[in-house]
Amino acid sequence: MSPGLTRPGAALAVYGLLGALIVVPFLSFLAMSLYSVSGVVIDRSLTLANFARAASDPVLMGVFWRTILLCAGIALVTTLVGYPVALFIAGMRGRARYGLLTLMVAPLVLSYVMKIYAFRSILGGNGLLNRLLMGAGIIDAPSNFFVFNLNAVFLVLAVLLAPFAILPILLSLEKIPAALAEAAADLAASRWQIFRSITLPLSRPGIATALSFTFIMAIGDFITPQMVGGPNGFTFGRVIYSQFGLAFNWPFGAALGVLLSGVIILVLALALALGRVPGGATR
Amino acid sequence: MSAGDRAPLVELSAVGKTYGTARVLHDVNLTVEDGEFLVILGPSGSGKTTILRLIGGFIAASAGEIRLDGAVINDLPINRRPFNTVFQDYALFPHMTVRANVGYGLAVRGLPRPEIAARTAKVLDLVSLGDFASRYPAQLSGGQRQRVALARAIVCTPRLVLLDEPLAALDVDLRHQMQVFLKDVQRQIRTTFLFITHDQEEAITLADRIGVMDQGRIVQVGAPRDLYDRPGSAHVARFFGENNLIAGHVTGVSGSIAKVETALGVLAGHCDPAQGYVGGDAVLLTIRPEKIRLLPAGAPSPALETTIPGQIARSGFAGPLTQLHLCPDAAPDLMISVKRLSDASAAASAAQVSARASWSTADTWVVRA
Repeated sequence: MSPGLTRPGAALAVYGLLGALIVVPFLSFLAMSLYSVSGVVIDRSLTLANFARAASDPVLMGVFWRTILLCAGIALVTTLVGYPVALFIAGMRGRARYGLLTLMVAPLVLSYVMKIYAFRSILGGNGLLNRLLMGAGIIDAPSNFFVFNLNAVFLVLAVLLAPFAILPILLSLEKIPAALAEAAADLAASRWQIFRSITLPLSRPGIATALSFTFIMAIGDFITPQMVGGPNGFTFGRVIYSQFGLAFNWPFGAALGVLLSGVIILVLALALALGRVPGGATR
Repeated sequence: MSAGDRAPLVELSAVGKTYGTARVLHDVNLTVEDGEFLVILGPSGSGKTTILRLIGGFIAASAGEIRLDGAVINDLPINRRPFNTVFQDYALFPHMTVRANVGYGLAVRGLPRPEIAARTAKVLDLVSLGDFASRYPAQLSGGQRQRVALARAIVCTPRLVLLDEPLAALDVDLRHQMQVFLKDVQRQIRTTFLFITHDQEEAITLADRIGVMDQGRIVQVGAPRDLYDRPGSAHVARFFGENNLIAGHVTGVSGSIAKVETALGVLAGHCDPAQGYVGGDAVLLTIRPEKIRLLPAGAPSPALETTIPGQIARSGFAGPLTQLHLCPDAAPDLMISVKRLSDASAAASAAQVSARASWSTADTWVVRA
């Protein structure tokens, strides 16, 4: 930690900001989840009824678990695909590396809504994907496999979140001193052995960050499922959103939000454990 | 040392290395004999690490041949060469225990676990790290990491151990300790060591033979004693220990004695007849500070072949040695450095104002300027 952070003013700014932007809203959320609604008025007497209702609703719980599974799948796929990409970029030098990095990061600066509309036109019944598949003779009629369902949500989120998997892995790969791979080769290790015994274990922090990042971003997203999921692509995020919008039941929505926050905190804790490299610091 | 008819362990012939347009190594010829402790000595940027990396297989030679037991190994990949390296910053695997680090080379070769455990334990005992086997590198001191790196390199019983300035990061006391230790280990396991350093004192302490490098070339190879007493060039004479260098021109040569015209008059100097010095050649007459005697001015003491009168300019007590400087009357700018054991006579000399520096022609050596 840099010495600047220990100065009282800076410390106040950092913790104050964290408190004002994260802790206070979260606490107010927590409080809201314990209220209830009667008619259109929020009743501020404390109750656990919202949580009981959520737990006893089989449809809601079904969406909850399906969403967790979906996001776990997205995290796994983006990380699995992102790792070799990061490895490839880490192995490059000079202009090619810079160019590829720019290409990879470029979609992040585009408007989210624009990207989703692009996907809708690719994935739709009459979209680019279907036309390509039909043109190649793989299918005869437009397939509905990727039209307004969870498959579409999975695909779109996986593509959109890929940079968030690649970047942390790339960072952790770059932190591994090149001398370690040389030392391993000097000791007669093959390229695969070097990867298995040196590169992979030392990039664990990056893998853990990639998994948790993509999972959390996927599970918190309700716009993408709304836009490409259609009526069949219902996710937990959309349920929460509907409680604040359509249903106008803020306390119940807050309770579901607390539930989701619990999942996120659990995932972060898991990531912390997974990302720990034995032996501590690299040096 | 090898018999004359056997190929040396490793041989570099006319090896060069270029990066783009930069030539970092020129036409290097070097043999590494089986069982020796060879030190490559040179200032930073002289190409000594490049030689080590070429032999180790980390980089490919741009020209020339590298041989192992007489067979060319230029294209042999790094993981198939029977050499192991001790890296400058150790390059220990941070996520593995000392035991796993040392056993790594055996494990990747697929040896059975009991054998790995036994050989690892044996080598860890050799480097006195038996009690540290379960620690991680981050939990060790610099000297201990150094020994782990050495253990990791020798456990695979390589034909040649390459050491890339392994002691550079250690403080002075630990360095000296490690030098003695390295030499001991090398004798015990009877393995050839190729050691890179920029520290000439370290080179003298460790080496059976030293190869001196300068600007991408090996300028002289020989036993430390030879390099010290009979340097082949001005560079070696200057680089290798403190020396008095008196510039002059050859006026005549008879056998191995050259007459050199200097600012101090015509002096006699020992030289290598094979160099074929002729009159007018620009040379340096060298004489080591510890070979010079200081005599009181004017006293009828038994002078050696060469005697230079002058004034004592500076003297400094440096522990066991006292360093004195004499400005010759004939050329006061040419300060002659003299080293004496710090005894009563050195103190007496230091107290004098004028004195005579005296040396024997046998202790001088002439090199081309």
